[in-house]
Amino acid sequence: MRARAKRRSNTLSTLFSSIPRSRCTTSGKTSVDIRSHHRSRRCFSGILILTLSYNVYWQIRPREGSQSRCYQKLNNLDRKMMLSAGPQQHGGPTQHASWSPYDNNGGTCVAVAGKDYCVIAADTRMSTGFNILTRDQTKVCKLTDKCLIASAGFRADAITLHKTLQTRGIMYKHSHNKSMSCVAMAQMLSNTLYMKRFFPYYAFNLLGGIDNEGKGAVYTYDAIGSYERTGYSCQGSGQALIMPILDNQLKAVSPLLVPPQDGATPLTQEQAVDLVKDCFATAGERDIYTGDEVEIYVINASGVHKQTQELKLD
Amino acid sequence: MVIPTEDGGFNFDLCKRNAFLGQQGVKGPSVLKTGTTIAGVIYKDGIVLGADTRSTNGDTVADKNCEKIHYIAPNIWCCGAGTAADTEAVTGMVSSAMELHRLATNRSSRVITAMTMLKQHLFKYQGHVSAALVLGGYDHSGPHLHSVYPHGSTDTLPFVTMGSGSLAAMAVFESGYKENMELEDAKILVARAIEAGIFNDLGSGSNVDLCIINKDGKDYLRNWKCPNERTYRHAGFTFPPGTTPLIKKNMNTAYCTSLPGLSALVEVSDGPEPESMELA
Amino acid sequence: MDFIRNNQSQSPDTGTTIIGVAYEGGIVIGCDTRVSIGNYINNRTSDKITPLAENVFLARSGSAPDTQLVADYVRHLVHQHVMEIGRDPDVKTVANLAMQIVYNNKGVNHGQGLCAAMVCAGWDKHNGGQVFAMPIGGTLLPVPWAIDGSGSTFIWGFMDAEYREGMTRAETEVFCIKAISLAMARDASSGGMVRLVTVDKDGATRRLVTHEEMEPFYEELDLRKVRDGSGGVALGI
Repeated sequence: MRARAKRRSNTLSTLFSSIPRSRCTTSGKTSVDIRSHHRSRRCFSGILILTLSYNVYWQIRPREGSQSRCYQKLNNLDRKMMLSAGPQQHGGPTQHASWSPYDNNGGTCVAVAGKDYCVIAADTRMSTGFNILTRDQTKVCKLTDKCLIASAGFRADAITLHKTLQTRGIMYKHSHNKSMSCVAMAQMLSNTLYMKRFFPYYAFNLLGGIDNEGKGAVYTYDAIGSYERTGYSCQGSGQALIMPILDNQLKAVSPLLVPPQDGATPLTQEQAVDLVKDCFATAGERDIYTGDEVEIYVINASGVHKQTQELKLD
Repeated sequence: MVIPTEDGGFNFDLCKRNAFLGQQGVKGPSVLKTGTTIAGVIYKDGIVLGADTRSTNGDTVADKNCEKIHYIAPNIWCCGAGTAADTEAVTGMVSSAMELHRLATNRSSRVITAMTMLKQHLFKYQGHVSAALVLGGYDHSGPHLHSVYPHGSTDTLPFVTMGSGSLAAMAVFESGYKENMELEDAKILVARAIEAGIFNDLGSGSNVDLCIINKDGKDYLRNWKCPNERTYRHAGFTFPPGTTPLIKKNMNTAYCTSLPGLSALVEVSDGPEPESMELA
Repeated sequence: MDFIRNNQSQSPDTGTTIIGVAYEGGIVIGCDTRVSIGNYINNRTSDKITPLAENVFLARSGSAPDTQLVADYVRHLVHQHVMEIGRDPDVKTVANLAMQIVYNNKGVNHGQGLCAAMVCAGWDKHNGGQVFAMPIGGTLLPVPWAIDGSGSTFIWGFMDAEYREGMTRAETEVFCIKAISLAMARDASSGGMVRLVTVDKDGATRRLVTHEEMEPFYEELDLRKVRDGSGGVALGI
C-alpha cells in the first residue's frame, strides 16, 4: 500500500532530524516511517525531553572514577530506559520505532486555597489519543489527613508518584510519630520529581491542603520539580481554558512582595466549590480530554470532604 | 510579466516557500478537522444520513454545533468528514455543477453523477483534498448510498460510516442493521451509531443531525437528539461598573454628531450610566 | 489508535486474491470481497469484478482508487468503441486499452504512478474465452490462467498442481472457488466471500459463494456445520 498523503508534524520532523530514517514493518504489511508517523502531540514533548536528556546525559557524564552525584542518582533502570528510548544510533536494544515510554492520558486538575480551607478537584476521564479508556479513574490521592495531590498527564507515572509519596508519608509518621505537614510534603514532592530530572515523571501535579497555621495551601509544579505556593492553580489538558477564568475571578498575589502576602483567595468555601464546578463544566465544553465527572475534595478543619459533579460524556 | 488570469483550481505558488520554511522548522497554521462520526443507511423507502456536530482543532472543540450534512441536490445530500474546508468546498463545487447540469438537461440529478464528480475531483488531488464523504440520495432508480474516500475510491453498501468515530458507528450497524427497515427504526439505528461515535470517540461530540431522503423529498432533522447539555452553570459572574477603569472619554455626543452622515441615520444622545453586565 | 488518526491519509487497498481461468468455451473470473485500510476492513462485501463490456470483465487488485479509475476510464472508451462497431468488443481490444492506461502512468516517483494489478478476461466470437494477466507495470500476457493480489502468493503451487486443460465449466468454477478460499484462509488481506463471473457464448453469469457453501481449510470453523447444529470445528479438509 502506498501512503499517498504523508502528514508529518513539524514538531516531529524537527525532533528527529538527526535520526536516520528508520523503517519498520508491522504485521508484514504496513511500513511505518517514524518521521511521518503521526502520534499524539503530547507524546512529543515527552520524547523531546528524552532525546535532549540523552544528549545531556552523555555530555555531563564524568570521566571514569569521578562520578558526580547527578550521575549516581540515575539508577540502572533509568539508564537502561534512557538508552532504549533514546536515538538508536548509539546502540541499545532495537525497538519498535513508534514506541514511547510515555503516553498522555489527559485530564484537568484545579485547586483553590481559602483562608481556612482548600478545594482540590479533578475530572475522572482517562483517555489516550481519541479513545476514552475509562470514565471513572480518580486523579486525586490522599497523602495525609491534611494534604491531597491531584495529577494530570501520564497515569502510570502519576500512580507511581502517588504511591511513593504515600509510602514516604507513612514512613515519616512511623519515624516521627506525627503526620507530615503539607509544607514538608510539598518539598518532598519537588525532590521526588527532581530525582528523575533526566527521565521525568510525565505528571502535572497540584498539591492542596491545610498548612501548619491552618491556612489553605496550594502548591503547583512542573514535571521536574519546580514549584510554587499559590492561592489557586490549574494543571492538565484544560489548563489553558480554566486558568484565565481563575485569573479573572481571583487575584493572584505576587510572590515577589516583601513581606510575603497571603495568597489565599477571599472566597467562601461554597463560592470556591461553585467556581470550580463551573470551571470544569466550561473546560468540558471545549477540551476533548476533560469530561465525565469531576471529584471535588474540600479540606478544612473538620477533615476531608468529597463531592462529585457530573460533566458531559462526549 | 504576464499574469495568468484564467487558471482554474488551486494556486500552488507558495508551496515551495512553505516547504523551505518547513525545513527551517516554521510551523504552518493548523486546519480545522472535523474529527467526526458520519453514517448512512438504506431503509425500506430511502436513505437516512446522520452526523455528529463537533468540529475540532487539535485538542480543542472549535464548533459545538456545526452542520456536517451538506446539500448536493434537492434529492441528494452528503455527510463530510476530514478537513472542514475541503468537505465544504468539494460539496459546494459539486452542488453547483449539479444545478447547472439539471438546468441544461431539464432532468433531476442522479446520485451516481455526484459520486463520479466527487471521486474524479478527489483522485485528481491524490488525497491532498482530505474529504471523506457519505453520499446518499434518491433518484429515478431508487435509493443510493456511497462512501467516498479522500483518495477517490468509492464503496456502495447498504450501511456506511466514516470519520474518526466510524469504527464505533460501524459496530452499531453491524449488530443492528436489518434489511427493509421502517423509517423510525432506521432513524433510531443511525442515531445510535452516531451516539456511539459521540460518546466513545473524542473527535466526535455534541448533537445528532439526521437527514431523511425518499421519493417524497428530504427531511433535514437538525439536532434531532441533544444528549450533551451543559451539566452545571454558575449563578453568573457580575462585573460592577468601574471594573475596567475609564482612562479617558473620546466619544462624546458632540463628537458623534459631528461625524458626517451619522446624525442623519441615528439620533445620538447621552444615555444613563450602564447597568452592570451579566455574563452567564 | 493510529488508524483512527491516520485513516484519512491512507487509501483503501484491495489487498486481494483475484483469479481468471479459461476453459473450453469460456472463462471464469473470480475474487474475494475484502477491502481494507490497514487493519480495518472497510468493505466486506465489495465487488472487485468490474464489467468493462457485456462480455469482458476486470478483476482488480492494488490501490482501490487507482483501479477504480482505470476501470471507469476503460469503460468510457469501450462504450464509444462499441457504439462505433455496433457489436461486443474483442477481449484483447479491451485488455489492451486497460494495459495502455496502466503502462503509460507507471510510477516513476514514489506515489506518482498507478498501483494496479489486474486480470482481464472475457469471451468473443473470434477467439472464444481469453484470460489476460496484467501485473503491476503494465505488462499484458495472454494466459490459460492468471492469479494476482496479495493472496495469490499462497496458491501458485495449488494452481500449478491442480490446473488441467479441458476442464468443464462446472469444474472450472469449483477450481476457482477452491483456489480463492485457500488464499483467503492464509492471507489476512483477503477474505469474506467469493465472487465469480462466468462468460461464454451465451453471455455472463454472476455467482456469489457465501461462507456456508465454502469448504473449510485447516481448523477453520465449518459454518456449514455451525448452521445445522452439528458442531463447528473441522479438522483437515
